Amino acid sequence: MDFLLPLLLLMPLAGAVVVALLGSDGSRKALAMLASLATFAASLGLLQDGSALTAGEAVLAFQRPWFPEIGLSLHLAADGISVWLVLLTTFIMPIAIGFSNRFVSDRLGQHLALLLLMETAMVGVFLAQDLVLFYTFFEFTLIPMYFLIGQWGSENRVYAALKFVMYTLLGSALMLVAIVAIFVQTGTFSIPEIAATLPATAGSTFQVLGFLAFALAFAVKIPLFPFHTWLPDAHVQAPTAGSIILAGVLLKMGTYGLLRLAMPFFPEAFASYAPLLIMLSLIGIVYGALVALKQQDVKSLVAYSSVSHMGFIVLGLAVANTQAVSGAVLQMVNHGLSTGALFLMVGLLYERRHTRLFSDFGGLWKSVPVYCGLLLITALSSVGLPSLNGFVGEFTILLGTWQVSPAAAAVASTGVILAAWYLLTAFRKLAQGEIRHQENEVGVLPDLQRSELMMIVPLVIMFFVIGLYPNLLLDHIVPAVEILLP
Amino acid sequence: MNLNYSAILPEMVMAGGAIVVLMVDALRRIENHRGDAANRGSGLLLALSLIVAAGAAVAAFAVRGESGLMFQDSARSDALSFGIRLIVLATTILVLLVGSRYVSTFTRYPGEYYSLLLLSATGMMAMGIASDLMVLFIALETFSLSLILLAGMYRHNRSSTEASLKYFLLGAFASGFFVYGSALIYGVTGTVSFAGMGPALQAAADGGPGAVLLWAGIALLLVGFGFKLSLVPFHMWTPDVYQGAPTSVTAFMSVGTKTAMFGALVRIFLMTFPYGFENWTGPLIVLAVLTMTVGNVTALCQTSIKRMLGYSGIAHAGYVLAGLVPGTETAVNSALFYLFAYAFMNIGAFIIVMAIEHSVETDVERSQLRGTGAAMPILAGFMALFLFSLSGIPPLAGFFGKFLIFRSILDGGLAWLAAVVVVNSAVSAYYYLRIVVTMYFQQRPQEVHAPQSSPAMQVGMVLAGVMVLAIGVFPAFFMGLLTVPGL
Repeated sequence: MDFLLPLLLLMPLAGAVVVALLGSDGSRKALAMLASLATFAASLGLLQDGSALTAGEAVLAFQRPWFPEIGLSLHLAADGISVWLVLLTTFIMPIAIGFSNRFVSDRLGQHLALLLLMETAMVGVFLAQDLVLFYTFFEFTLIPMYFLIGQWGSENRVYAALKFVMYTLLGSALMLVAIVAIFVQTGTFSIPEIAATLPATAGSTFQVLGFLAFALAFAVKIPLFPFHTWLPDAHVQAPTAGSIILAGVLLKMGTYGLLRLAMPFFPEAFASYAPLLIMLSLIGIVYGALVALKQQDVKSLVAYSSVSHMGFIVLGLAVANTQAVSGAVLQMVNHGLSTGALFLMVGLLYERRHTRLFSDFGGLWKSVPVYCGLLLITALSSVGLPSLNGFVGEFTILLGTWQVSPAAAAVASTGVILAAWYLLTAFRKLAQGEIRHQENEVGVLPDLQRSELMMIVPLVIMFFVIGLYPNLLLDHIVPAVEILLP
Repeated sequence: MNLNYSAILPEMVMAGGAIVVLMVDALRRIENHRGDAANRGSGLLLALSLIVAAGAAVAAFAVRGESGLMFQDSARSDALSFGIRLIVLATTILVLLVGSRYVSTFTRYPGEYYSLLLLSATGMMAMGIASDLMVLFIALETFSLSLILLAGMYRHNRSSTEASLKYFLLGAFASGFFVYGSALIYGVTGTVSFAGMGPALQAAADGGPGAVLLWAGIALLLVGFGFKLSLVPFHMWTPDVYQGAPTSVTAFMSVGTKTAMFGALVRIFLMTFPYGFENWTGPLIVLAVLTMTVGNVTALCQTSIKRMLGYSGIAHAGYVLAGLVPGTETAVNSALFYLFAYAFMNIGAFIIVMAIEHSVETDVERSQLRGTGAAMPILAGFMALFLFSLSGIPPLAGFFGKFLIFRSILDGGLAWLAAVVVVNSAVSAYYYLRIVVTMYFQQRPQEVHAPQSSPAMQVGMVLAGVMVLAIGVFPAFFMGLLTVPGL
């Protein structure tokens, strides 16, 4: 099964091309869904070699020359970390497509094709073992997202789309220089080879400059405080499917890059900048949570909660012991599922009422009980209630952090408390109390339908699966992290 | 004496073809002199020109292996000349594909247009083989004079005439610098042949007699190059000429002139004056940084698409110049690759401008593209492709061009220069993407006619688009095509 990894890239790509060419919306919907489900099914094949993954090895390597004169190759492989991030991507994709199938009608073919293109690029980021290939996928994600926000977003979409692209482009510009400089230094673009040779050969100035170039690119993508200002705009303006993908997967490309590239390539520089990263992530955790408390718009609340939660992941990475980093990887998957689900729930509400302001809701528990029950579970998963997924990840990160800096762990744990505060307050404002608006009355506001349940229930099941049996992931993640850490 | 005519076959085909087109046009006009059908038979001229250019391309590949000095050391066939020929011919074919219908909108004399285009391309290709100062100057004047006439082809249009006059005056000025520099160099070395200059240059570089005159001569040459390449601060004429000239001429000029002049720059500064080349890297770096930065910043403020592409062309010249600074063989190959990629993405963008211009018949403002994404999805899709490639987003042609240039700069140990290039390129994304914003994210006003792109134009657009994708996905193949191993 040498060809499984390129197949994972080609299936959504082929789907995108065909969807763009098809005639009727019905066949487009069916085909896009089919392509994303088939990709998910195929991606389950990543787990076939469980013993190699638990040994921390990279599996299913695929390598072909691409531009041999300058050392580029099409080199793909998956280890315990990439496997689960790819699975996260392929799992979320059918849900996002399901949402668009149900609610988007304007230029649907283009919309679905862009979503599938997005999937190819994101899977490529997690599988690439060649730096230029990584950069290619990393940058290419901008184009579909740009069109998704710009064409199907809310009122302020043009500003948000351009801001998103320019922030990310400027952030990653210097990374390209660093990538080429690494090649000049080591003579290769292969990520594993660079990780093996660069730390020993690079001088300290090279390490520092290289690390800063990579870290800037990823800090914008994550987004780490103070590079986060594009995120609320992009999230609030993006169409729901775009938000789900943005929060669910796209942000993880930043933390993944930090872990896969910046940390192993420049260990000394990383060690000397780790306190700064810890500081910024703590600020992000508290700041994001406090701003989230004040939001009047449900979607921007979820967006700021992302800033806070991504801070946890960066904290785990910056602490750089096996426990914290493994927790961070687990939390990447968890945050993808929980925040993706939150955006999905907000989207479902918005499609019913065309408003996202707290003041327009209240008492929904009476009119849409199924929706509210699922919303509560989702919110609790994001808060980090034990037995749900968010708890395991955050707890592991905090444990690992405690070993290095109890103070940092203490500050970070306020983020958990604040999360409970803003998410439960949000839930109260939406679901509890009296019904104040006629549109929200029983019988007027429809509860979830079967097709909508099919989007949200798989996510909820995964909350419990990971919450009760985290070793399903950690068995693969921990050995891979042990190999990656210096 | 080495009279190797086969080695200059491509240039001979082009020059001969230009004359044949002119003669056929004359016969056509005698046939038609009574009727008013000025454009009858112009399709024939177009087909003929395309055949000539394609024939020259075939000839270029056929004589690909020929190398060495010829014609009393006045011409040299090598890897560089092959690369220049290929890019110029690709440019010519793409510009010809704009089609006769577009040409008929600005001139009643298509024969002159086609034959001048072929002649100009001949001069550009000759720039690549020129190996002494005289031939170089003749090649320079051949393509410049043809371009001056081409720029003024839209005879009843003020800005076209202005463009032509401006290009003529500043071109003459640049030629003056060029000739004066050549004269000084000749005075010191006693020869015009690049091959024969070696010993005298070496002596002068070692501090021998005439060093001051020699350096002054080279500096004057560089100023001449600066004008023709529209390097900042010698760039003032460029936007006006680009905006005023008929768009097909602008497209041709923007890529062809750059290619020819960079070929000659490499020939002179890297291959003839390598002695003391490091003395020239300083000025070249300053020119490159100024050129890309000023070009980009000014492009940010433009509302006319042609003008914006003109300024952005200045920035692209800056990137290529920066890539040449290390002066190595990889640097030259990277620059050639960049120009090759640039030919397709830039002319592609100009073809779209022409298709839209066709319907509004004046300069194309950005606002005229509003809502084209929904109204003309194919046209807008291709435009977006070209713009993404111009901004250097992977995996398109422009990305690999820039990537190779970074690599050659970093190989030369100039990390800060690479950083300047890359930041400039990210800034340029803003004005390219703004057009995409206009096309896709804004509503279309009511009163706009559909574009009338001719079939030929569509072929050109698709060809350029396919190449932009193919160069990005299979960069190794095109690098192999452009560079000749072992020469």
